[in-house]
Amino acid sequence: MLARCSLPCLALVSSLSVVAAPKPVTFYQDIAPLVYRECAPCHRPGESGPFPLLNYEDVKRHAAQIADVTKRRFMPPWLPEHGYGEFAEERRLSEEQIERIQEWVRQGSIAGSTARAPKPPAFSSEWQLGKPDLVLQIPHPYELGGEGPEVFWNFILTVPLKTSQWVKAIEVRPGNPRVFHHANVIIDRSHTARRLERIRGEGFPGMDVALEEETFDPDSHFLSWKPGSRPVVEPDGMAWRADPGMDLVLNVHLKRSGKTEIVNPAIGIYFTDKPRTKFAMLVQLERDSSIDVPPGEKDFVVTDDFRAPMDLTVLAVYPHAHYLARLMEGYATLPDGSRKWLVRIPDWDLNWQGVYRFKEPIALPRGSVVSMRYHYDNSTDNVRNPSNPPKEVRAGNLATDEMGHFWLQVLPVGEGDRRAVLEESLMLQRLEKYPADFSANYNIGDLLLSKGDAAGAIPYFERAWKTEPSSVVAATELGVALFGASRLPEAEQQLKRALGVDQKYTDARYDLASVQASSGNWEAAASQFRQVLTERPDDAKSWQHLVDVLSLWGEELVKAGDFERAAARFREAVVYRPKDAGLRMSLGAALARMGRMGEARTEFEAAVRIDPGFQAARRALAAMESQTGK
Amino acid sequence: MSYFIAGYSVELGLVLPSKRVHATFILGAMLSVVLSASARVASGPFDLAGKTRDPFAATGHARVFLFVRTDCPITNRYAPELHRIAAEFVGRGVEFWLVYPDASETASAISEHMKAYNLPGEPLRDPHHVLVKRSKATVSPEAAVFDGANRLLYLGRIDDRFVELGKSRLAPQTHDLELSIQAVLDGRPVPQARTRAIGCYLADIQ
Repeated sequence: MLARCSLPCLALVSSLSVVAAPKPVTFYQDIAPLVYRECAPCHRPGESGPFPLLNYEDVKRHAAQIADVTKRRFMPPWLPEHGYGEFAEERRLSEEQIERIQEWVRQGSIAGSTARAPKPPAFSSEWQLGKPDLVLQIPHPYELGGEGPEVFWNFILTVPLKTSQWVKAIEVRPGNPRVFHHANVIIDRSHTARRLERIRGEGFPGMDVALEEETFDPDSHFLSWKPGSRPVVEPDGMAWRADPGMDLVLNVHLKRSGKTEIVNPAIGIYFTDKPRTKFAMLVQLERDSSIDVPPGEKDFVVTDDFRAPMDLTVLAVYPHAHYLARLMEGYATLPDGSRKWLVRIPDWDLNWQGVYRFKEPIALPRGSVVSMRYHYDNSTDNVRNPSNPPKEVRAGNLATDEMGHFWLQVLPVGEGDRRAVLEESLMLQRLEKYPADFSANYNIGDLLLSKGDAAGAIPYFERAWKTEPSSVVAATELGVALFGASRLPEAEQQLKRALGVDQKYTDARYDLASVQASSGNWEAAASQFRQVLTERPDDAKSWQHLVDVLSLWGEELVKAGDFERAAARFREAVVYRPKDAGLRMSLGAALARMGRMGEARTEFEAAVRIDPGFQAARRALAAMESQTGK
Repeated sequence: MSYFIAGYSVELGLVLPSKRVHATFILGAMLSVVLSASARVASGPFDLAGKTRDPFAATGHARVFLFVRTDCPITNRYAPELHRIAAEFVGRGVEFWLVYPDASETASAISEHMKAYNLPGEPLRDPHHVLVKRSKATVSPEAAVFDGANRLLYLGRIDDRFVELGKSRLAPQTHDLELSIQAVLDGRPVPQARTRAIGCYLADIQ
């Protein structure tokens, strides 16, 4: 031993003198296989690891650091505690592996013989899943300054499709992995997120994004990216639908590098012709309304539970909180009273949050109770506390606010789409526990509305809106339910209140216009539709409705004998829809009644040009000719 | 040179944890004296043109060595803060030296690194760890503050933002380096002479 030791390790030898000489640990024999498999996927050029670990020289340059970070289990980053849920892609070293690294460094980080060295890892810098069928780029590259707090930003990417397609996988390319820390992709079919942009195409800040859907068709996938993760290809039958013009919201966490960085992420999309036959659902446990953590509080607990109303399998979990959470537990209590762990995170770190997919799906028989128990530390002991001195913390979207969410991707056992039944049961359970709960009331209202029970939905939306008076969406849905229940004057009042909450919420304005049109209040309806169209110039349905309203309004004016104003309405409608023979006919008739025969003739002729078989127009022209004697 | 060696030995006596290791280190120190005496031509530190520089020969009230590596993310993340601190003490007799102890980092790589991150101070290559040893620096980034009489008065972190590798505050609470430089200029004792710097180990690049 002494003979092999060079001068700098004399001290080491003296301190080890009573211990038996350890087996030599060398890079090529003992360390390389480990590093190549566990570290190199991120620690290589173009990936998120800040330095490469692809050969002996690379690893030696960081040997003591590697020993330190593996010993503390900071690297490889993996939050769940071993033995509390078995996950695919578990990135975790064994105790033996960690000790092997320590010993290698203690012995001087020697290279050893290359005779039996493993092949250095080879990586592709291309898309991991091959060339995507469609690549979405963010509208403008994002410039991240070198200094300041971490950034949580949302980019909106529109899907430029002509027809709907089934998607089996997406792959996120960070564009600048050094600062791109993690990302979630949220499907936004109703263009809700666009309202949050100050300037269209710019994106918007925020750690969490909540979106509403037009119809009850939840997108039941965790679409996410974290350093070193392989893109997930959904199994057959679990594709999700991409609709023309819908948006994907790319929610990213950016860490500053010390210099200005350009971030330009892209999403690759992979289609399949195999449609969805299995209807999974994302189920959320949360109790954000209970989050009110006093400053200095070391153990504030947030809990929520749900009872499985049918046999379920859990495919994946996604625990989420901000900076104050420490211990996070998610588990199921099965009907026989036994506990089945879903995940346990002893020391939560937002930087490494991720989706955890089970190696084997977890079976939850009907009657199982799923629980989340999250512990928050709002004292100065928690170095991650974003506020110093600590302040009172409530739920919210900022880094200084908190969240406590436990998402499960579940698949009901059996055939068919059972999501609505599951959703209704879960929401009714929530209402039992928390009668004023916003999302439960809103979602039940939504379910009833989609089933055609508008009258039944009204009280739920009323409660939701009362809980969150600033929610323009709840205010609007209440108006829609009143409309559906044929309570038109109340619906109109309610939708005006919704616009009072947010006058830029175009959905509310569209609904208001529709209610006013249904009430025969043509003038108001036309005015609202015109405004909708300045906000959404491409909205074909609104153009259609505006022309219909103008046309009906014109007919009413004709009946009242006000031909001049009638003609003005028809004329505006013709501008919007010049190829409509019926409109030309109506305009011509109104003009004729005012005696403006020349203009009337032009319209009748246009009507016949558009539709040569239009008998009424031909008769009108013939009548004009006989009257003038030509 | 003689002062240099004397100062080195004296400082060694300050922080050594045990007698036995102490003896070993003294042995090592003596050996390095012998070695550096026999190979005095090339021990450094050097400027980027390759010329030997003695930062202790300057005349300021304080000199600050910032130990950095081009491949250390924590070092890079500190660049704006280092820039701010250097700017704060401009014209107040404080010399900032940016020390690159990695022998494999070339002068051009260093220039590029300084430019990319807008790093302050005059660059020095320290391939034989002359400044590393004299300052007893172990980590990048780490700062050593000497007074005008070349006494080491502060060694450690820039601030307390990082608690461990991978564990950091959203904002620092104690700006140790800044406070130490100010104390040296004021002729007061520094608030805390030694703090633990978090970053990439210099031992890995010996």
